Amino acid sequence: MSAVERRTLDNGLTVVAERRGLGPVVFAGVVYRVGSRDERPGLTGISHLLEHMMFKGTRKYAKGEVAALVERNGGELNAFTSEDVTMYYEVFAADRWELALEIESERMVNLAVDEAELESERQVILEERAMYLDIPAIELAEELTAAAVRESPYRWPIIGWEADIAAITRADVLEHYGRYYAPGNAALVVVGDVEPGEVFAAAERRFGSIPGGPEIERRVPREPEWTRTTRIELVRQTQLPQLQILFRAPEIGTRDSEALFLVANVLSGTKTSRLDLALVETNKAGDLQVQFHPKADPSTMLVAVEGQPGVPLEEVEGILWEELARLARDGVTEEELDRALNQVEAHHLFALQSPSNRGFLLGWHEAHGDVAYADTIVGRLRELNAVDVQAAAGRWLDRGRCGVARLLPGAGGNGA
Amino acid sequence: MKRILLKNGMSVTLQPDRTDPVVAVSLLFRAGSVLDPDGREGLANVCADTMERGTSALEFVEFSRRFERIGSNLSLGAGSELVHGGATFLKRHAETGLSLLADVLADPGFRESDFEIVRALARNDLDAREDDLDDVAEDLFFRGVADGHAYAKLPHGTREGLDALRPGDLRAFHAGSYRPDRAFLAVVGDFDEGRVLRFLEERLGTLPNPPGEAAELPPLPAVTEPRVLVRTRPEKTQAKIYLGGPGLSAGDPDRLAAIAANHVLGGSSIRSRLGDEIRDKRGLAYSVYSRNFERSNGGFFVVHMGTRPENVQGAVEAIREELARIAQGVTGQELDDARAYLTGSFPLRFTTYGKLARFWTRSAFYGWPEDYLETYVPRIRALEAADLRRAAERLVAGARVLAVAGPVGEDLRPVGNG
Repeated sequence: MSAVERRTLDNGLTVVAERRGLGPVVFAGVVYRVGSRDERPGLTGISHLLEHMMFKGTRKYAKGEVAALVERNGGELNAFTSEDVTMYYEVFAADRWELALEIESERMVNLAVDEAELESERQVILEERAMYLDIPAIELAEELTAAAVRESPYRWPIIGWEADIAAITRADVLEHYGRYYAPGNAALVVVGDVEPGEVFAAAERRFGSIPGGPEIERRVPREPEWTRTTRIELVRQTQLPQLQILFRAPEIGTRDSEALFLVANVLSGTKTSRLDLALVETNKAGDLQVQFHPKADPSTMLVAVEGQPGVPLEEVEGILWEELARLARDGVTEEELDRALNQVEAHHLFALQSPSNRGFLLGWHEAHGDVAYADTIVGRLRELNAVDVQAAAGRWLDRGRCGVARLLPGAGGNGA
Repeated sequence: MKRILLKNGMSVTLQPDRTDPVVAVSLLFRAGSVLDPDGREGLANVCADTMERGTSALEFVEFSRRFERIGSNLSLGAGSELVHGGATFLKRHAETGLSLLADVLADPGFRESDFEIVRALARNDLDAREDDLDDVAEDLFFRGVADGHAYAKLPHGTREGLDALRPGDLRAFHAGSYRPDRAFLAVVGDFDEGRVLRFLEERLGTLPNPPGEAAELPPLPAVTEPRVLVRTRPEKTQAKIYLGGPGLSAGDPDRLAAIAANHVLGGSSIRSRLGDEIRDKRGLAYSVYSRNFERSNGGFFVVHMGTRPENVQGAVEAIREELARIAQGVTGQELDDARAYLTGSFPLRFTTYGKLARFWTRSAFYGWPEDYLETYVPRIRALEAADLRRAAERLVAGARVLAVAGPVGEDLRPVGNG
C-alpha cells in the first residue's frame, strides 16, 4: 500500500515523495547524513551547533527572514540533530509547499556564519545543555553511556561536551558545513497532498544546479564487543532513585536488531508488558522505559527505571535481571508475541496519518540507505518467531557485558 | 460532521472519513481536579487512572490486554476541569474497541488493589515532579494565581490529599461527577455512521445521570497585589521562571484577538518578540514562550523560560519590558504576519483523526459554534490592530505573579515588585 516514489538527481540528491494525508498539507524536509557520529573528541556537538546556525541567515536571507517568510505563509519550520542524521523541515498548506524547497536549497549552499550570532547561539546551547542535565534520568544516561561505550562516537551526547561547545570556532563550523552539506550527502523528502511528479520537477528546479559536493570519507570507529560490566554511581539531591542498564545492541537492518526490537516491546511499552507487571504493578518502580533505536553502527539499548523511595535499588535490579534471564531461558508465548506485533503494526498505521511523522520516518530510513525499510520492517518483524526473540534476548541481554548505573538520593550536587 | 445529543444528554460528534482505515475516539467528562473535595486533593486523577484499569467483569491484565491485542490502548487522564479519554483503532477492530470503552464507562471495576497501585504511582509522580524544576515552578505559579479558587487544585493533588483517600471515595466521585449530560464524545474516521449511532444510543445513551444539576465554578478572581513565590533549589543549574497572572477564558469574546496578540508576543515557536529579545539577542534561554491556558471560567496567562541564576533578574526585567510593550499594541506588519500565520497554518492542526476528534470534544465542551472550522479563517482575517491591543492589554494586565524555582535565594523577591 506504500506509494513512496524515489529518484536521484544528477548531483546525487535523492528525492523521496509520497502522496498521502487527510488535508491540504505538505511536509518537506532535507535530511543530511551527518550527526554526532561524524564528530571527533574536541569537536563534539558541532553538528548540533551547525543545525542552530542554519537558522541565523544565509547569503539571500538575512537573520530572521526565513522565519518571517515561513510565518507569513502559515508554515512550521524546525530541525533536529541525531547521532546519524540532521533534518530540516517545513510544513505548509499544499498551495505553497514549494517555498520549503526555496529555503532549503538556499540553506544547503549559502549559509552565513556571523561571529556575533555564533557567540549568542553558543550561549543558547549551553542553556539547552544545562536544562537537560537538571533532569536526573538524562544526566544518568549520559554518564552511563560515556562510561560503558568504548570506541563508538555514540558515547558522547548529541549536544556535545560543554568544553567542546565552548571551544568550537567559526572556521570549524564552516568546515563541517562544507564537508557534509551537499546534494550527494542529502535527501529531500516530501509527503502530503502533492503529486510525486510535481515534487521531482520542483526538486530539479531548486536543487538541480547545485554541485554534488565532495566525496566523504568516513572512518567511524566501530564499537567492539563488550567484555565486562561497567558500574557507575551518582549521588544527587533528588527525591527518586534511578536505575539504568545499558546493553550493546546491533545496527539497523540486521535480523538481530529486529528481534531485539521485539524483545524491547515485550519487556515494556504497554501497561501489561513484562517489566511493567514485575516492577510497576508491584509498587517497586514508577516510570519505566526500554529504549532501542537501531542506528548506522552498533549502538545501545537502555533500560531505565525510576525507583520508589524505600525500595532499595538492589531489589529493583534483582527483579530486572530475573525478568531478563527468564526471557532468555523460557522465551515468549505466541500470544505475547502476537500482542507485541499487533501493537507495532497498529502504531505504524496510525503514524501514517501525520505528514510530519511520516516524513521523519522516510527521511531517517532514506538516510540509512533503505527508504523501503520504513514499511517492510513490519512484515520482517512478522516473520520472526518466538525462538528468534528468545535467542536475541540470550545474545544481547548479557549481565556480564553491560553497563549499570545507579542514581542515589543524597547530599551530592552536580558541581554547581 | 454531525452533532447530536443522546437521550441522557451526552454530546456526540461524528465525522466519517474514508482516507485511512482508522477510527479515533475522544471523550471528555467534566470530572477534573477542580471537583476534588477539600482534603482529598488528587481524587479526580486517581479516579480516572483507576477507572481505565478494568470493569467489574474484567480485571486489569485481561482488560488491558483486550485493547493491546487489537493494537490499541485506552487512556483516561484528569486535567484541571476535564477528564480526557482517547483511543485509536484500526477499522477492523473499531467495534471491539468501542464496546470495551462502553463496558468501562458503564461498569468500572474500581478494585481496591488497582486503587492502591494507582495511588502509589500518584505519590511517585509527586516525587518526580519535585525532581523536575519546571513542574515545581509551574505548580507555584498556578497555585499562586488561583489562590483559594478551585483552579488551584491541580490534577496531581497533594501528598496529604492522596494519603486521605479511601477506596470508597472513587465510586462516590464517579457517581457524582461522571455525568453523561456533561460528557462529550467524538468519533472520526472510517466507520458506518448509522451503525455507530445505534451502538452509542444503546450502550452510552442509557447511562444514568445523577440527581440534581452539575455545580458551576465561580470565575477566577483578579490578582491585585504582586505575588512572588520562590523555591530555592541550590543543587540545580538553571532557574525556571513563570511570570503571569489570570488570563482569558475559552469563551472570551476577545479569544481570537488574544491568540493573535500572544502569537506576536511569544506564542510562536518560529519567531516572536520574546524569542527575538531573550533568546536570539541576549542568548538567555534555550526557549521562551508565552501562553494563555484557557479554562471555562478564566485562564492563566504566563511567560515561561529557564536560565542561569545570575540571569534571572535581567530576564524578568526583559519579560516585563515586552509585556509593557505588547500592551501598547502591535505594528501593522506584525498584525499582517499574525493573520497570515494563523490562517495559513490552520489546516496543519487537523492532520490526524485523533486531532480532529479532540478538537470536536473540546469545542463542544467550551460551547464554540458548530461552524468554528468554517468561520475561523474569516474571523482571523477580520481582526484589527485595535482588537489585538485590547486583547493584549487584558492578557498582561494581571501579570503580577512571579514564580521561580532553582538555585536562587529569597533575595530575589524585590525583582517581582518591579
